[in-house]
Parts: sequence; C-alpha cells; structure tokens
Amino acid sequence: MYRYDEFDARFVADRAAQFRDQVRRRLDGTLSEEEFRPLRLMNGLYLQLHAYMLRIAIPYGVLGSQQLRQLAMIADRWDRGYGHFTTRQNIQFNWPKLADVPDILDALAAVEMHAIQTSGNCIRNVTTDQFAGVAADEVEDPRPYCELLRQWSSLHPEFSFLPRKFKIAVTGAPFDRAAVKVHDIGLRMHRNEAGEPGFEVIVGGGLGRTPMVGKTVRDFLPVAELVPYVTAIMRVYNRFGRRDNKYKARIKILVHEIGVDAFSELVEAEYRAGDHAAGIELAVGEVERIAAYFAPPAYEDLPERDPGHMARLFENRDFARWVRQSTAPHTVRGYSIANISLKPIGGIPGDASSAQMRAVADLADRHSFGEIRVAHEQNLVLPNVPKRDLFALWEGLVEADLGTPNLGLVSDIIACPGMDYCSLATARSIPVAQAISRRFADLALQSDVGDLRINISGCINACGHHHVAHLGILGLEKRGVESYQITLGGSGDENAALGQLLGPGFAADEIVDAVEAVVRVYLADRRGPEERFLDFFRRVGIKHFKEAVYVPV
Amino acid sequence: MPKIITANHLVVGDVVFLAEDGWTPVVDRAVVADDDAALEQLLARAAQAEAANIVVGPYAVDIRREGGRIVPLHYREAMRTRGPTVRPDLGHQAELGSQR
Amino acid sequence: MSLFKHGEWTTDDWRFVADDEPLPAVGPKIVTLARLQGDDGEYLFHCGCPLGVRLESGEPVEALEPWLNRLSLVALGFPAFVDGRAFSAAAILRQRHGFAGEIRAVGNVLVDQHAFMLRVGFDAFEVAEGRALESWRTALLDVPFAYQYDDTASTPVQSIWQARRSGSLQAGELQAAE
Ligand code: SF4
Repeated sequence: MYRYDEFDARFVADRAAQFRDQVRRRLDGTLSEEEFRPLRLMNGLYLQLHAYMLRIAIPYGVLGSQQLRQLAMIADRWDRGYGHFTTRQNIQFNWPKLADVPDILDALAAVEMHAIQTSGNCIRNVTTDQFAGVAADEVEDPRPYCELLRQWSSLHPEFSFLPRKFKIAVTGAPFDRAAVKVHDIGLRMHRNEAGEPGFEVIVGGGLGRTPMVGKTVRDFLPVAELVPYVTAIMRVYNRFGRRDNKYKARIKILVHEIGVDAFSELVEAEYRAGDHAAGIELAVGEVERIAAYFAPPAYEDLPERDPGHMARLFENRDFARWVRQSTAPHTVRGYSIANISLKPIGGIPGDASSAQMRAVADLADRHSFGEIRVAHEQNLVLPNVPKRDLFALWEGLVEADLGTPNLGLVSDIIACPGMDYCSLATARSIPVAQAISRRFADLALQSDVGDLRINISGCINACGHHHVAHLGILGLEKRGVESYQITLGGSGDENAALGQLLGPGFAADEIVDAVEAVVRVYLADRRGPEERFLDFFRRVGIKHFKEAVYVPV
Repeated sequence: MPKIITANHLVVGDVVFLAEDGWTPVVDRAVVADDDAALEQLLARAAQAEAANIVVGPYAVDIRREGGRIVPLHYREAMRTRGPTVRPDLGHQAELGSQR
Repeated sequence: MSLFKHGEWTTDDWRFVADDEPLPAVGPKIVTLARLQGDDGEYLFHCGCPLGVRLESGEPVEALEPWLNRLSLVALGFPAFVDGRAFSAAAILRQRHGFAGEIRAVGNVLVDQHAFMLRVGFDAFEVAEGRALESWRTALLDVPFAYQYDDTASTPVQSIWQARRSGSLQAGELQAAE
C-alpha cells in the first residue's frame, strides 16, 4: 500500500497543527461558531444530533493493520470504544470532544492518516473497488490513480469552494463494485485497441434528492491525461454549477440542465484551451512513483487447491458456508479475497468495536500481509489470504464475532446512521436494518433468497444509497411520525438503475412486514432459485409487487 | 405551546437544555416558556450563552408536560434528550439513568 | 478596508468608482464591467491613468478579453466566502491569458483562504476592518506545501510534486524550513 514520504508526512502534520490552532481560537472565543464551522468541516468535524462526529478518511478504502490498531486506540481513548464504517469507505467516531480532536488528528498523522476533506464543498475521499489490485476480473489496478487523485485534490487551491461536495470513484474491473455511475465523476479503466490503459469518463451521476445515472463524456481518456482532464471538468463545474439552490448545486444538475453534449463541449473547450504539457509530465512521473508502492506483496507459490483447506471444507459445514459466501477469486493462484461481514444478525451495520478492530488487524498481519480494505457496503476485506489459511482466519473471525456468513445476502444491509446519530435525518434507519436482519436471521432462508441487497437511508440525502438497492428503504417523516418508502429494482453496478417507488410509505411497525411481503412474492413467483431478485423484478415489473404488498381495503 | 431551549455544549458537544441556573443535560430541569414574552427572555439568555462560547446553535423546542416531566413533542427532539435508540448504553439515557 | 499586498499591509492608491458616481479626472480607478462595456468604455483609457475593472463572481472572465492588455488591475468579487468562482477566474487570467497586472480579492475575503488565493494568482486582498489583521502575515506558512503544480503562482508554498521531481527540497531542508 501507499506509504507517506517526508512531504506527505509534513503536509498532514502541518494541517493537524493548523487545526489545533483553529480549535484553540474557537475555545478562547477568537473565532465565532459561524467562522469556525467551515474550518471544522474542512477537517471532517461535524456537530451531530447528540455530539460531535469526526469522519476520518480511509483513502480509497485501503488500511494497514497499524492504522486499524490506531483507530481502535482512538476509539478507546477519545471515543466510546467503537467506530462506524461508512458507505464512502471512511470511518466515523460519534462522540469526540472538541478539545480532544487536535490530539486525535495528531494520532492519525502518526499513522499516515487524516480527516482532510471528509466534509465540505470540496473533492471528497476518492473511492474504488474494495478488491482493487487483487480481483481476478481486473483490467488495470486503479489504486495508483486513486492516490494521484487524492494528492491532487488535497487542499486544491481552485476547487476547495465548489458549489457542492464532489465525489469521484474509480474502478479497474468490468464488474463495477465501486458504483462509478452514481458519482459526480466515475472513472472506469479499460484498454483501447492498442492495449493502452485509459478511462471511460462518466459525469453527473449521483443519488440524493435527484438521483441520476452518470453520462459518458469520454470513452477513452489516456491515463496520462487524467489530472488535466479532471481539472477541466472541475473548472467547468466550479464556474457554471448552480449556487443559488443547494439542492440543485451538484454537477448532475448542471449536466442535466444544459445537456450532456453541451456540458461535454464546455469541458473539451476548457481542456483544449489549457497548456497541459508540464502538468502531464509531472503527473506521469508521480504515478510511476506511486505505483511502486502498489507492487504485489511477496506471494508464495501455492497450489490452486490446498489439500488441508479442501478437507476442512468437507468436514465443517459452517466453515464451508462462510467460504462460499465470503470469499472471492484472487488473481494469484492459491490465494483468496476474504470478506468480513460487519452485519451480525440484529447488529448495527458497519459498526466495529475496538476489540474487533484489533482482532482484524491481527488477522490481517497473520494472513493478509497486514492489509485491510473497507468496502462501500460497510464491510471489511482481507485482500490477500492464502487458501491454506482460510480456516484459521475463519476461526479468528468467529471468535471476534465477525464470522456471520451473510455477505451479499438479505441481512447484509447497508444503513446510514439515520436519526440515531445524524442531525439531518428524518427517520431512523439502524433499527429498521436490525429488525429486517432478525426477521431473516435463518441462514437457510437467506441462502434461498440469494442475491437481494437492501439499503436504507434516514433521509433524502441518500447516504445509505437506497436508490441503487434491489430493495431500497427511505425513512421520512409523515404527520409527525417516521414513515418508510420502499423502492425496488435499483442497482449500482455496471448496469446501474434507479429503484422504482413501490407505493405509499409504511409506518415503523409495518415496514418489516412489507419487506417480507416483497420477498415472499419473489420466492413464490420466481422461475426458480437461478432467477435472481433483480432479474425477476425486471421481468415482472413493479405492478406485480404492488398488488401483492398493498392488500386492497 | 410551551417551549424549552436546547443547544449543544461547545467543548463537549453534548445536548443541553437551558435551566434556571445555566445549562443542563437533564431535560426535566429545563425552564419552560409558556408565553412569547417568556420565550423571548430565554432566547436572549441563550444567545448570550452562545456569544460567550458556552453552547452552539440554541433553538426552541415544543414540549408538553407529563406529570413532573418534560416531553418534547417531536420524536427527533425526544431522542435528543436520551441518546441513540440503538445504544441504550450511550448518551444521556445511560449517564443520567434514573434522573430521566 | 485594509489592503494586504505582497506580504504587507499597504495603502490603497486605487479608487472604486460605482456606476452612478462621476469618474474622477485623475488617479488609478476601478470600474464595473458594465461601465467598461458601456458607451464610454474606450474613453476610460483616455486619461492615461491606470484602469482596473471589478468583476462580480457571476460575470464571465472572458468578457474582459478585449481590454486585458490595457488593464492594470482586475478585482474579483467574493459575495460570500463559499462562492469559489473567483478562484477559477483568477486561474484563467493568469494561466490562459498571462495577465500580469494585479488581481485583487474583494468582498468577503477570509484569511483562511489566503494561501489558496495566492496560489491561483491573486496578489492583493481587500480585508474588512476589524478582522484579525495580524494573522494574515502568519497564516500562509501554516501549511507551506501543496501537491498541485501551479506554474504561474508566485507563493512561498512549495509544490510537492515538483519538489519530488527536481529533488530540490530534501529532508534536511524540510527541517530547516521549520
Ligand atoms: S441519508 Fe440522511 S440521515 Fe442518513 S446519514 Fe445521510 S444525511 Fe444522515
């Protein structure tokens, strides 16, 4: 993984020192809240429903075991012993005291981490495929470009006061695990006919109040031109994005209002007008330097089928179930990608205790070259596990209460913090996730239901990505009580689609029954287990579900 | 409609309510304004406290009285008096226990 | 108003002339884009004294093109500090048009944006009275490094990418710079 050189280290340390001074000035009254607010937001510090919340960047979801241990230490020392992994591959602490935040930032800087640009109208943490660099289906490793973008976007002088926040996602694989079509900019790596790597550039996707699937503005952008081309997009957005209404300020609205062709022309004109030679040369050199950090670890030469592992699969059904559900094919023979579910039945999606963080860090050291990934589904990943080690890993996970074999199943629910923590929420989302998870606790039932993803957001901002769930739930307020809307048929992958509204909302004590009714319709009417929920939905349409779920009065 | 004033404590971030003698985490100790004049007085006190960097973002909340207790009408505000509903071990509900 | 320029507080020789004010006969003046584009636009240059124009954040910087080589100053307005359009305007003036005159930040100008402004090409700052004026001298050095490479900006902020490439800043010097 990427390691800081003296410049990165100094940059982050200086930034932490700057914030320490800003906090001091706030506490002694030199800065008013109005003046301090944008400054704290630029360092990921929010004031939430019950307390401050600190959001820490995990650049493109890559974590070292030392870093995870430090997060555990921070959780214990300055927070309440746990953290929450978010849909943007970051981690949030829910109870820091303002006066402690400078110390937390120093502790982060000590392990090459920070909270820069995890909030505010700037370019946020770049996200990517949680399997980047090791996925069997990958065309090109996106991580060096993610790191390049991280550096380029950090305290960017021109793009730190954009009309609205800005999210970039990169994928290097044809199967899109990074949801690039629902980001402000989505970059999909592929190769042209000459075999050279480049990006399909997709702009104007996004969720929130006005969900949209992004549009392609360039089919193939040579990798060398990434920074200047993205700069051109950002400049067009910074100049022409709407600033009169914060709900219309995202780039998707600009692209939508002027049309993708006109938008694309503006970008191309801006790009042509610039002199990019020096910038391209610097960025190319920088990518080369960065790429060296992502060289493969010292893999062993292992057999594809490890006899011990095969025997264990036979002997232990629980283990076999976990392997089937949680591992993914690796590029290197004899290795697996192991997913760790942060969705125990009835648990809080994405939460991990400090003890669990330490357990994962230790397991990563033992079995995965000390590396951990955070998935936008709010799960963790050990990217480099020899098949030989899978059993030991599983035992370790079970011991830490992290062995739930529900990855990708109906209880692997994405849920934003909702009104249990978030000051913008209109309803709670976590208790709904917990109740659904309990309702479908039976693993045999979950396996039967198969690939059905549920995402829940506690308000229209859609941090829980409910629009792109097979079954999305949006918590709203209706006549003074919580009310939940269901959407069906969404998908965040390479065939991105937005879910369709099922009908009127459900009360808090009805929503789980409604979800179950939807699932029962699918189970009863599908052609067979091989017809996945999404395929079934696309065949029968929303009306079929409507009739079954809303019993006529 | 009777109202109380709430805010977050600047240094700690905790939810607090304006009481006779300052700010308290215990909602039942909040001063209730039963008319506009009383509310204006409370808001003025709150604004002073904000200017003095004691609290952040004070605002008024509709409540009803239930026995000796004060209950915010809106569920969001009711939750703010307690803490996360999914973590009864955290927030005011845990720390104040019997007082609430 | 106080004027911060080239690292110092200085007196302002320029005078902003609103559209409904008569033009002073002499001295450097700043007019609006509307006045420059108006019927007497050409006349503004006749007195031979330096002329500047004030561009509000919604006005396109391209509108200045016909006059750029005769303008001595462009003032870019920040109606609110969160309105970042002027950052792009300044960058375009310097990078694309090679504008060498003064680019002045006016309006809601915050010390916390000072380094960003310098790096896109601003070199003068009109700051409302009563703002912690002293911090303008020191804030710049809070984070003396940036990743991006701004070949047109002249600031004490070092480009990390460039320094890595040229090896011009080594660890030893990093320490010394503290
Ligand atoms: S979707 Fe709404 S409630 Fe959920 S985290 Fe985002 S802003 Fe908060």
